[in-house]
Amino acid sequence: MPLLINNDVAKEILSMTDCVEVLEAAFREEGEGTGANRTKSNIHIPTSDPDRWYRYCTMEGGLRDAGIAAIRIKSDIVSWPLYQGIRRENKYCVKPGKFCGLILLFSAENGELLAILNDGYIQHMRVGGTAGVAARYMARENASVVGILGSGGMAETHLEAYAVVRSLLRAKVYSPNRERRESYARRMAGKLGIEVTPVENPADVFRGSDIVASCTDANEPIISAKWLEDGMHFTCVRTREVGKDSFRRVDRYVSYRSEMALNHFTTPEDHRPLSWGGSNPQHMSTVRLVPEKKRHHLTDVLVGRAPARESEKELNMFESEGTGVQFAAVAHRVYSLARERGLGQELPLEWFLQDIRD
Amino acid sequence: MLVFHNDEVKRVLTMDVCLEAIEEAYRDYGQGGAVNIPRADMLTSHPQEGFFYEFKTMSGAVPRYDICALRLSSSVIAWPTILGTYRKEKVPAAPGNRWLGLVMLFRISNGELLCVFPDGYLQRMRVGATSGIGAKYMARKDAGRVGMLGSGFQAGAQLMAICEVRKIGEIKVYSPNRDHRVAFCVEMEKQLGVMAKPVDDPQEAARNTDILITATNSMMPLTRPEWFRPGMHVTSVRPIEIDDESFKRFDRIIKNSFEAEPLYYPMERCKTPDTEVGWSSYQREFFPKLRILAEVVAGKAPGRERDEEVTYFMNSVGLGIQFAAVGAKFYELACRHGLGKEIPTEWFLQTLHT
Repeated sequence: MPLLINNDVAKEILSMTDCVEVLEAAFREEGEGTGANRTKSNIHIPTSDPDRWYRYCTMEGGLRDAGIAAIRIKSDIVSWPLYQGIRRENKYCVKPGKFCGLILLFSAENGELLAILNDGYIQHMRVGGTAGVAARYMARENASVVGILGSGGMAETHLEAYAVVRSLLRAKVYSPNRERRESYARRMAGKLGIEVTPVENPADVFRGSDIVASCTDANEPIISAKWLEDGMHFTCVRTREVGKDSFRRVDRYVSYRSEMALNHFTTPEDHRPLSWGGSNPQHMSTVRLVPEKKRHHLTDVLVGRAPARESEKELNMFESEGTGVQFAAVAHRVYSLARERGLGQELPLEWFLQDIRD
Repeated sequence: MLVFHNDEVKRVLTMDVCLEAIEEAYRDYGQGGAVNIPRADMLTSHPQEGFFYEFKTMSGAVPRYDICALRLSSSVIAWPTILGTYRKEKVPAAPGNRWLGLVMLFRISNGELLCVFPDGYLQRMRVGATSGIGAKYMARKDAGRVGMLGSGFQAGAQLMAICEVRKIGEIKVYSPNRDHRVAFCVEMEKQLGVMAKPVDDPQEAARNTDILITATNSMMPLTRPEWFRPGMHVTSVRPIEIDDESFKRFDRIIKNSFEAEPLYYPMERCKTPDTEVGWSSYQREFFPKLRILAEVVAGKAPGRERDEEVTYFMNSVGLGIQFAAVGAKFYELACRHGLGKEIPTEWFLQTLHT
């Protein structure tokens, strides 16, 4: 019987150590050719409110050795209000404060549906976990100070993932809301047993840090290339947080994605949403500011086809975009742990099977 | 959130409703007002020799119905040779010797997951209805005799659709298994009230007919160019059923999808007969030049210009909008009839922002 697994269950059973481990194995499978992705695809439809768009997004992937396939689906109403002078992305499904993100996990052995999972916790974990895998290869061996921009879910999982792959001493956090950054600092210090300091401006997050992760919901560049330092490993969650100046400044750029996201519209070219969710041609041309020889795919790094860092002084950058393989790998681990511990809710198998062969 | 099963789909979904859905959605799509994420198939080797695993998905949104649909199937497949022809078979590998194919409908105006149900019956109807719309725009107005190659699940839906769009007086059916074709004709006569005659030769099925339908799972060409007489309309679900010489004989060919085939992303570069053959090089070369049925429905391309033309509708590669359109009509009917099992919508919502 398929399991319905919500975010609370996923949070209870999935550790960051596990998440980094399954992702690293999955990326290696991809590098070796036994893992595959269907590139993220979006549908954008205008709603009756000109400021709001419907965005439907799917991505899928499979892993041969694990014997699984998964699709991840998002279905939300998106808008881009101004907050403290910066455009941010806002969304909801059905009512404000609710979102729709689902993962359907299948067995490649007999085709059956193994689980339906809310994607929220897994999403935060897989983005952080992927950054952790990248940092394992790209950060300096002795990296011990981390800077974090943002204080949401992504900000948490990034710091947790860095703590899995490096021995951290200290972290710094900035987010525009003082209360939120202070609460983040207390929470993470307690969780990881390291010193976490809230700072008053974003530049301080970068100063003297070995690893910096930008985990904000900003829809425009908020990072100045002047803040980037030699030897640093830098990553950002949303491609739009980083401007052209930063791409000119970095020595190496490694990414994890399954080609550029594909976007489908019912509107003419002059009537499109402000943000499409994910990479777009404009961003990809920005990425090309880094010389081709210094741009690699994470899966190539993992199987030894590309270098991750060549000197202590090198400033490198990592960026990732969701793929089906990530969701398949992490959801499969969550599913296996839930089965082991008897967690999750059983759904009737017959809802998802049929005796019609089509 | 509602969960339906195939019997409920069958109970309320009639062919006239499916035809209306496909026609409306295709008119919108032809004018740029509906949109698809094209079909993609992931293929990988299976622990059992000769078997493969196939994960297939497609999506489509039709704003007119406020519906976005996902259709997926998760199948173990094989390519056995049956009665001398080479076929694609879906192995009933899931528990209880069953298959997995699902449709999920989302509401565009608020993002809500409305329902989930097996795709089997709807799948059959949407393919049939699409051939029906093809015939509506491409067959001669006075077409009344139908030839059918195939007697399976899909063949029945094709006949239901053709009988809705043209006044059909006679049907001839060929399939390699005599018992199948006889039983099929008995069933179709009863259902459609049209004389249906089993024949023991494929060419006989095509002789003196106005519309020829092929709905088989053969992986080899079945037709010959000399079968096609002026004024005829031909439709096939899979282009491999039509030989290259026949292709050259057609005066007008309309395709269903811009995509010649699904986007295959095989793991470990595994080759299957689907990725290897399926198409002749001639058909492949010809394909990009063809207009799609949605353009015909939207009035952007002609379906038939002269009575004596031989027309061909290639109803291959499904579109997500078909599931959105037919699914939307079904959902409305099902709600009106109080069908389905209600489960909490909250299960599929979350408070974590992703």
